[in-house]
Amino acid sequence: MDNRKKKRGKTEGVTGIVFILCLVVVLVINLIVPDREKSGKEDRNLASFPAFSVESLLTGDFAEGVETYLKDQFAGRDLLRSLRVSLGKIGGNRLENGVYLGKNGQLLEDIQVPDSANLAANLEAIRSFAQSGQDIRVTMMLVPDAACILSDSLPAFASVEDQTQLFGMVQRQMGDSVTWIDTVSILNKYKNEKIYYKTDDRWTTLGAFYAFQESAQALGITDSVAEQFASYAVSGSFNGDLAAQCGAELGDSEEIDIYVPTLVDDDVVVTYVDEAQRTTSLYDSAALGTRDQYDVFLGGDRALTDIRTVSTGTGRLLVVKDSFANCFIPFLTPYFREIVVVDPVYYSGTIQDIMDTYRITDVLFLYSGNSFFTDNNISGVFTGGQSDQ
Amino acid sequence: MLFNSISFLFLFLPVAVIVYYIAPDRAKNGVMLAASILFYAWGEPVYVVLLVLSVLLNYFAGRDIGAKLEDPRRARLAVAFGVAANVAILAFFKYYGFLISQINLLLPEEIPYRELSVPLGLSIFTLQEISYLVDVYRGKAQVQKNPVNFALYAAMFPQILAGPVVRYSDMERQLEKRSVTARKAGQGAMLFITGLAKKAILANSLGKVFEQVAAMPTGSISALTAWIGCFSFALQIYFEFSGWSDMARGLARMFGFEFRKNFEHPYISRSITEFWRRWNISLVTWFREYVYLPMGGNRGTVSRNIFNMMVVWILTGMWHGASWNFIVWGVYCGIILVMEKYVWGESLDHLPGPVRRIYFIVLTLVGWVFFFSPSLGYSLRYLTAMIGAGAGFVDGEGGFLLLTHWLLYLAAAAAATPLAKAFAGQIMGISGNLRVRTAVTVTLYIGIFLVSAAFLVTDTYNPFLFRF
Amino acid sequence: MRDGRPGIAQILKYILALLAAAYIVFLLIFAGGSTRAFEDVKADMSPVLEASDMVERDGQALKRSFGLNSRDYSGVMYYSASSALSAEEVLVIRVNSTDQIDRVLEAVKARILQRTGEYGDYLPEQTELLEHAVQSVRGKYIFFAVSADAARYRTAFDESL
Repeated sequence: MDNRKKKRGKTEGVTGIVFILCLVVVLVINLIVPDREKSGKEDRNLASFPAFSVESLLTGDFAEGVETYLKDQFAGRDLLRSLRVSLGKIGGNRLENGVYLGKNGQLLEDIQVPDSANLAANLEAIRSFAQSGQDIRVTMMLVPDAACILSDSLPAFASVEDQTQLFGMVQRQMGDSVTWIDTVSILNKYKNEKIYYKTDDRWTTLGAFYAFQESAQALGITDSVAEQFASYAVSGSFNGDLAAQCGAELGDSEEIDIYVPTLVDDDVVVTYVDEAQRTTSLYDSAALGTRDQYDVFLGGDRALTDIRTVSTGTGRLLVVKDSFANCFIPFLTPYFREIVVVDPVYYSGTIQDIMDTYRITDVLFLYSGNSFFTDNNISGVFTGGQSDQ
Repeated sequence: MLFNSISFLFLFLPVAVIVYYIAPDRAKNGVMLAASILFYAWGEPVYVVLLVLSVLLNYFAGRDIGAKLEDPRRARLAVAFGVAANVAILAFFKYYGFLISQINLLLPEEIPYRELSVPLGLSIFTLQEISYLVDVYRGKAQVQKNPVNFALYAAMFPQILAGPVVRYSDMERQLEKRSVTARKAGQGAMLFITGLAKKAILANSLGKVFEQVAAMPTGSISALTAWIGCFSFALQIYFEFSGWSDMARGLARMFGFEFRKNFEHPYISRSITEFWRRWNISLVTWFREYVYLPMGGNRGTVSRNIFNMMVVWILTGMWHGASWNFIVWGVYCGIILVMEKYVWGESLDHLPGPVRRIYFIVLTLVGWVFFFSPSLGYSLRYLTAMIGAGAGFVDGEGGFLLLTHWLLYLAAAAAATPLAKAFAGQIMGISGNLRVRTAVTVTLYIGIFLVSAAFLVTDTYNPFLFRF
Repeated sequence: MRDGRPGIAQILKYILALLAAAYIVFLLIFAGGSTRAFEDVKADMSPVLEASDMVERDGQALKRSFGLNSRDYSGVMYYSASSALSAEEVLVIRVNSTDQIDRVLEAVKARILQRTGEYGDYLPEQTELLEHAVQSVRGKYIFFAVSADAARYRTAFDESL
């Protein structure tokens, strides 16, 4: 008995020493390994050591900053993350950080329910703008998210909010003030094709193309658009933001296609207004070298972009959008003389500024369901009134 | 910083442990006190001043009582002052906001008021200080003349955040003399790792499930989902609480202190009375020693005893938080305990085992509904959802939650009973060879620690349920 | 110490109890948050701010200056100078939850940096003002001011809570 106890004591002693050693080793490793600025796998910037000040110490900010810094810069963080997510998957987990791990490697973002105050403010802003009698065509196109159309790919028993019903509610509220495009029915027709990315929350260019084909009329495009575009693959190594968000399918590679007009010239002058930069292509190939390759379309999300085309069309279109529109806009360039693109999240001017500066004839609201229902920036752009500094 | 934060695990702890082991015996208490003050100041840079003032106040109050021990009247006044001062500080921080907001409900116009957050660990160190003063008064302990030793007792970092509440008489001797051996350090490490795993892996994951259910409107929760939510919370709070206690005891042991067990597999109980002998033992003991017994305990008439019990349980409920649902929970527990003591306790003993367990589980889960509900209305609606009045009995949502967490529930159920420990024991004892056994044990524990670290470093969800 | 004279311990314990109480009161007055509604705080501070040369700005201006979306918070009051040559501005925000505080403070820090870069050596008085910017976090209220009268605005803020 005594001997067994002694033996157990030895075992315990060794465990204790090893544990403390582990802590020390990890401490040393973390001190030695240099800090990283960005995480490829998680698609975000990693925290750096917080600046010290008496103020930040007293509010507890400094302590929090150190903790975030240590977590973000923890050596082997990516490995630890895959360990945790894999363990979760083995244990049956199919909903990680807001992303459903669906069948066949399909990732689907959970459907968001709108905050009623924000939604009401946004809809009111859009409606009064549309009815302000400026004699412009206002079209509204809400695109369903993958979880709504590809519901067969959701994991077993998963139930999400009915986005079709939410869209219906918005459509009813907008009434006649806008021309409504029913993207749900359009995409449902093609749901067996690859209209959404597997590792990203956005639709593929194919999905956007189908939507464009069937909505061209409503946008005022009278020419037939059927044979006018050809597709080219620009990347075969795309890994989207949903994979980064949930930590699964990080090894998956997908293709990004662009569609180029075949019958007309596609010369454009694209001006990124806030950054005062100008380019002659709708595509930013430098983005293909970064993690978020989707930014190849229009250089990602910018506050205000002005696109001038060689189109014979007379219309000048304003697109109020989120990132879903970025791969849709190239389809519009043959038909509009000018396309002004505004993203309310970054744009800090007002709609009147835009209407005064550019002679807009048509307006298109193009949002994915989730972005639109979680947005609280749109109303600010439309109701802001004071002149700026 | 909290025990499950990276700053603590991989920065503070290794440094503190090494410095402590190197320090000569006479300096060990000072080292640990310094580490504790630093630990507290890191999390509460403003309130550390309050901690120091509270410790000094009680130190002198204790010496004052000691000086007056021979005069019972003066001693009683002195201890009354000390206890009152402590209770005043505690009550102010915890309940002043609640009190004013309740008064505001009655007034036509709301009075705005200044808010102060509750200092971390206030309840713990205040209860411990009260236990010191009363123990000295009763003669159960000597006055602690060494301010470092006293401060260490009150503010020791292993238990200041979330307990267990250690009575002074339990720690008195250990403050003067304790030993640290490799064996104790190892046991402490193993205990700490167990606690950390309970919190980082089990409690957090269960908490995520519960949060999902809690976010749903009660009308759309099916019975299956409601029960899953309730089970998840019951397990979450157990692993959260017992995890912290394990971490506290483990850390303390690494520094040579022995605390009593705070949880004894409470969910295998077969009655609510038994449950409260196995759950948060230190708190229940504290309330018994310093509230129940001084009020008269079970001496006197039955109605007086019932009164005493109800007061203790209302206070216990209030201790967990300043809101009506905690008070309701306290009353609920009190009533059942009174019933078990005087009404159906004996009949309960005659029932078969499984029936008793079902009785226990149902009553406990209903109790937890009161505990986690943000309002009384919500708790009643949740309870009706549990019997199918919400969205029926079974739905896809509930099925989804169950299927996607089957391993978690299995592991949690095993860990809540002595099963997990027995299983681990089997693994560790698998060979007769000492070297092999050591290797297996070390691998097992370091493996668990690694997985816990993986969860801590990469999980965004890491709540601290106890702003005590 | 067994006779009627109070012992040192007794005196000290009273003193410390008093100190603790005083510290708590001190915190309440100078560091405590407030449950006062934003409209009331704004109503109290408006007269003071309106009397200055500054103009009240809207949500888009807040976005332009700080990159913050006013709809994220439960209350925003932003005044800035009418002239582009002046760095004067006052911002009061009530956040919905304490996790938002970090983001606001970072935006404020970035704003100070950016403006200091803009004014640089050309307008040293403005750079001076920026260096002495005042900020304060009281519970869910955040206050920031760049102005020669920053101290006065701070007092108005403290009193309005």
